[in-house]
Amino acid sequence: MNWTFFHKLGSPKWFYHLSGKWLPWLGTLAALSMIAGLVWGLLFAPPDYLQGNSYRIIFLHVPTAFLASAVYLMMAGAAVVTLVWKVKLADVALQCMAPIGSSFCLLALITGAIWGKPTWGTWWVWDARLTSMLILLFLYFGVIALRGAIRSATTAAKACAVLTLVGVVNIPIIKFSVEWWNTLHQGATLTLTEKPAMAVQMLWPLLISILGFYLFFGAVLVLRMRIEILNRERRTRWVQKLVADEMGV
Amino acid sequence: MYFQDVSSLLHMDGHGLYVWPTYGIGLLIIAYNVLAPLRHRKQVISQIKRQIQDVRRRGVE
Repeated sequence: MNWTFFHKLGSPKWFYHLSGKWLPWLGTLAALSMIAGLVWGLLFAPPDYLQGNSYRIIFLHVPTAFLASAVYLMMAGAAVVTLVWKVKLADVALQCMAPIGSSFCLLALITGAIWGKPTWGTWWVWDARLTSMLILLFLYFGVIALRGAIRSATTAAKACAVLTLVGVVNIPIIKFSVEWWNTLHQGATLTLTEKPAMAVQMLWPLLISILGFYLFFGAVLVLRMRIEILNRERRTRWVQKLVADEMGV
Repeated sequence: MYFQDVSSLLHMDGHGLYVWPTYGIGLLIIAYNVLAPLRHRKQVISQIKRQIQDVRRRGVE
């Protein structure tokens, strides 16, 4: 197998230049689909026959909850690449994904709590889905705090990768919590194998909103990674030349 | 639009109290994700600029 592409992709300089071309497109697509999905869901979709209008929180809750788990899995992928191949860019990605993932996890918990009040009559219960999501939030905070606590960059990268991998055990617990235990939280709204139980007028805005949030994640991740690359490579000639040329010194 | 007028849109049959604050908080978190990196970028760029100027000054002396 030809590994040149893989190694090239792992080069911060190469990534910086290429991602500069992606970013405007990614950002525009993200903004358009988020606005389309959320405005459609908020203003145009019909109310739910059982929950009325409170269900409109779904257009924020489901995309952020999906991403909270998905981002953690991507961090675990980056952790493996960091530990096995020691690709610098993978650790940059891991570092930059953590705050974004934690913000989505927090938003999923808040939107869930507000939705719970009119639906279940309570903001919070210590049931399996809610508790495992709270643990996910603490795992995110743990990874962020661990990096801040270790001075050596290589040790920090290794420690964060290991902690991320240990925490992966929580992801299947979140996924199957609604099946394994008796919980207040409803089962999956969308599955890959079954036809969605949702009406089409609600399903489309939800899918567009999910797409929008994924694109938004991609855009802000690229944005953060580019800055972190400049930060880490500040002593290299290419960064100094770039800053001197483009930003004028 | 599903709602007849602005007041029914805001009220949402009593659920507006829950739906609108949720979207407000969502907007704040989206804004944080855009603004936090841009602020960090400013800091990093100005640090690198200072670094370049230091090297040049030392070169002149």
